[in-house]
This record gives sequence, structure tokens and C-alpha cells, in this order.
Amino acid sequence: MAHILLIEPNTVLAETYTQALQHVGHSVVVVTGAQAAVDAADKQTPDIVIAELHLPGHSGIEFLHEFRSYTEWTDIPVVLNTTLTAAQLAPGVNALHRDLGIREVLYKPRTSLQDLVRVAREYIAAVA
Amino acid sequence: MGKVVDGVGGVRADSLLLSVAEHLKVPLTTIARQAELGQLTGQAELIDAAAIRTQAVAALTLVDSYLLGLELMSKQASLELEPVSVSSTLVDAAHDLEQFARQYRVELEVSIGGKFGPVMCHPNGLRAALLSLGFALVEAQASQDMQGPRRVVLATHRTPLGIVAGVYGRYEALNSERWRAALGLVGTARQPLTNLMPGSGAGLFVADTIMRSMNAQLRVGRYQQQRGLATTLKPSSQLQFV
Amino acid sequence: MNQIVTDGIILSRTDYGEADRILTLLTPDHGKLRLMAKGVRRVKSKLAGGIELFSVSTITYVKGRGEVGTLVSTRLVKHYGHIVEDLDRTMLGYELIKQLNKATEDHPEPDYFNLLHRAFEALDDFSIPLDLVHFWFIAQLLRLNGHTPNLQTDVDGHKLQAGALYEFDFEAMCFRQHPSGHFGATQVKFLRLGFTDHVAKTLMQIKGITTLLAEVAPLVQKIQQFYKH
Repeated sequence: MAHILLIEPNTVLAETYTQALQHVGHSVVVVTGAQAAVDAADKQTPDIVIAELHLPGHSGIEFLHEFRSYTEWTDIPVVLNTTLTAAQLAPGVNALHRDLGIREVLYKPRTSLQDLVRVAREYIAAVA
Repeated sequence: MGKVVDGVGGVRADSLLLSVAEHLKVPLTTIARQAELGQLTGQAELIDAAAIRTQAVAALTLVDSYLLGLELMSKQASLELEPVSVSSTLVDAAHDLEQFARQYRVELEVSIGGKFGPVMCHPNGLRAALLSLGFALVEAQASQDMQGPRRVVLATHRTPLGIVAGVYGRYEALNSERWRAALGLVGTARQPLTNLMPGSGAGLFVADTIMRSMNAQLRVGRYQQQRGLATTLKPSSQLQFV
Repeated sequence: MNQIVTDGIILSRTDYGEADRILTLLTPDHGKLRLMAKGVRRVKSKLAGGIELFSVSTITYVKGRGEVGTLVSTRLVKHYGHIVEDLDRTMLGYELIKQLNKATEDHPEPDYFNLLHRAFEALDDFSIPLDLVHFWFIAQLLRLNGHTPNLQTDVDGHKLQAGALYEFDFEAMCFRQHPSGHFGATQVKFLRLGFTDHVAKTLMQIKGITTLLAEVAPLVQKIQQFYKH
């Protein structure tokens, strides 16, 4: 069982993801924005972060910039689950992987619940 | 590129389409993921059919409102306006938004600030605009990174300039400058109103396009210490409702 | 204690100990600084206003015995808040900060601070296309690093001709005449302007800039890659 920090601004979609991840035994904390995500990680260190980049206020990039600047959070796997396509992310994708430690980028509309659960399991297992 | 719906201050048709298309990813993804929940868990009862229906209705309303907006803008010079009761339209819109707001755990209120007569506008247009605005601002309210209750108010009241109808809530970051800048960013920036909402904000710009066809474009307004977007409509001198 | 006051742009932050952070800043007059900010970790308002990313601040610090000084205070001078309103601009801004941080490992001249400051201004202005900002930044960085290509004469030392076509010779870092070359007078003039010391917005005055960018931006990026290896 792992503790997942889910950063998803659409609360209805977030509930669906939470049900799927909880079904396979994980605990999930959902936040809608960057500041809440930092606070949540501070309260309980996640085993993995699943994040949308499009957030109200501060973006997912700002969150990751902040998140990765804390040494105890440097190695926590982060998976993006975003409405941005690969083409839209292409210009900055090297920075995402190299500097912000993104393990994988999932295109939200095409990522099934099963895919999400599988990817989460892969990266949690890799760290354990 | 594309047809300019309104060259002055409004959003270009191609940019609006881009915005609508981007936005539709969200309700359609929500519907797809909800439908999968039963398959993943083996518990069909987990599928929230009401949620699927509400998301579908919101998405279809946006599509219809977008198409109406294009139609009204193309007919702008010859648009036939009728006397319309703002309060009735507001109440109807709130009724249609109720389930959606409940799903997002946002309290919905209606506030009719007095008795006033009808306004001159396109009846379907006003309703579509209020719905588009309402769906977008309910979702935005739910996503705000803040503490405290989440509430959206559909309100109408009289001012010296006319009858104002709008949708309001706790949107601290919303101001006129940001709204004007956002209108110019649709189709260019993926989040034209980043401090207000995480997505493209399509519902807001569709609502503005509709109201702009009646020369009643949306402006940032305040109502009882809350901020929102509202339109100002001229009272009709033709008929007076009691 | 001798306190020094200067403007600075934060390039990076890392943890130090239980409660402190080390900030790396670029300044116009004191090069790159590493300063200890004491007791700032887990401050709740750390994302409030996003003041650290894409900002210029006036900082007061004290020199330390070693490489790391101590930050006394900061005052925000300018926050380029529009950048974070667009994800693409945020990502490019972040990438430009990283590039500049890498390019200024030794003692940087004031011009590097000015470059980053101008980059923020350009990114903050949505009327300036993103690919133009990127092209301009790479050209300016190459110029500051002393890697401006020869845009005046060809490999044989002849002045570049108005009616001729050229290809770029990376070994010689200049153009070589070629009958079916991709670069002509218009592209060369645009490149010359790109490598001149000015702000990104100046390039907006060029006619046909979208096409020109598509033609020359890949070349400039390849030149940058060439110097990385």
C-alpha cells in the first residue's frame, strides 16, 4: 500500500481516480492546487505524486520547481497526468524529465484507470 | 486564420473553437473514466450514472451555446431582440445548474434584487450565456486552492445603467484588467485566466460571445463582496411584467 | 558587518540543514552569488505570489568566510507574473534560467544578468511570440559566450553577396556558398539582427518574421548544440 498525492483540479475526475487507486489498496490525498500540494506533502510525504500541469493559480511547473528544491523530496517519483498532448509538451519535455524528475507523462484523455493504476504501481515498486 | 467573429474586443471564432475543444477534453475524460470504474473494480454500482449524465449535459450545453454564439454574432446587425424576464431566466439557469453544482460540492444561490420589468435581449442567448457562465464558474470555484465554503451566486439587480445579471463567487484573482487580457489570450495561452481556472475557460468566452452579439458583453462585477462576470441589459419599454 | 545591497535574480534553491536554504542568484555587479537564507524552510507562504521564480529582487547580504554568504533581506522589485499564466512560457522561462545557470559557472559579466532580465521581460509580453524569444535568447547567449558566428564573410573570406545562396559550415562557423543553399540575404540580415545587442521586441519589426524564424531558428539551435559538445 502506498500513499499517493493526487494533484487534480477537477474534483469530480479526482474522485474517480481516487476510487480506482483506493480499490487497489493505496491511500490517496487529493488537492486542486500547487500550494495545497506542497502543504499536503509537508504533512505526509507521498510515495508518488500524480499531477496535472494545468492548475488554478500556480502551475504544475511552479509546484515541481518548489517540490524538487527540498532534498527529502528530490527522489519521489512524479507522474504527470495531463490534458496537454506530447506535441504541446515537446519543447520543454527534456527539462521535465531531466530537471524536474518527471518519470512519465500520461495523456489524460487516453489514459484509462487501469493504465493509471499500473503506472503508479510501477514507480512505487521501483522506489521500494 | 479563420473567421473573425468580432473584431473589436471579442474572441475570434477560431480561438473560441480551440478553447471549446480543449475544454471538452475534461468532461469527456470524466465520463470515460467513470464508465471504466465498474470494469476496474468489478463493482458496477460504483459507476455514478448521475455524474456521467451531468458531465454530458454540461458538455453538450457548451457545444450548443458555442454554436448559438456563432449564429448570433453572424446575425448581429439584424438580431431580433425580445422582452425577456431576467429573473425567470436566472431561476431557470440555476435549476439547470443545480445537479452540476451539487456534484462539485458548490453551493448554488439565486438572488433577485428587486422587482423589475423585462429587458431587451435574445431569450435563448441570455439563458445559454448564463448557463455557460454558470457551469464554468462552478467548476472554477471547486478548483480554487483555498479554504472555506464554496458558493456561486446567480444574481440580478438594477443599476442606473440597466439590469445586471451575473454569476459571482469567491474569485479573489478576478479583476477587469485580467479579464480584458484573457479575452486577448484565448487561442494563444492555454490558460487565459490562470488565476481563476485551470482550463481554457471556454464557458466564459462563449458566454461573452453570445452577450457581445447583443452589445452586452461581460464585465467583471461585484455583488455583495463577491466577484464575478455579469452583463448589463436595457429594460424594455414595450411591456411591463408585474 | 559589511552589508552589500544589489539586485538579483534567483537561479536555484537547495536545502541546507534542517531549516535553511542556499539560494543561487545572478547579480549585475557581483556575479553569481550563493547565499544562505536562514530559517526559511517550510514557510507557508513560499508559493504565495511565486516571488522567487521570474523575479528581480533587491537583496541585502553579508559576505561569508567561504563561498556562501548570508542573506539578510530581500525586497521584490519586479515580478514577471504573466509568465506563469502560460505553461509554455513557464517551461521556456525555466529552461532559459537553467541554460544561463550552466553558462555562468565562472564569474559572469553584468551582461548575463541583463540578458536574463530582458528574457523575463520578453516572456512576460504575450505579444512577443515564444519562438522569437527562444531564438533571440540563444543568439544573445552565444554572443555573450563569444560564439557569434561569422555573418560577414564566407569560408573563403569573401563578403557575403546579396544575390547568393549559402549553407552553414559548422566547422568554420560561417557560411559557404552553395547553388541550392537555404540561406540568402534576408536570412543573413535577420541573423545579424538576432546577434546584435538589443531586446527581443526589436525583432518584431521585421516583416515575414514567422517564416524567417522557421528558417533560421534551427540553425541557431544547432550552433548552440555544437558548442555544448
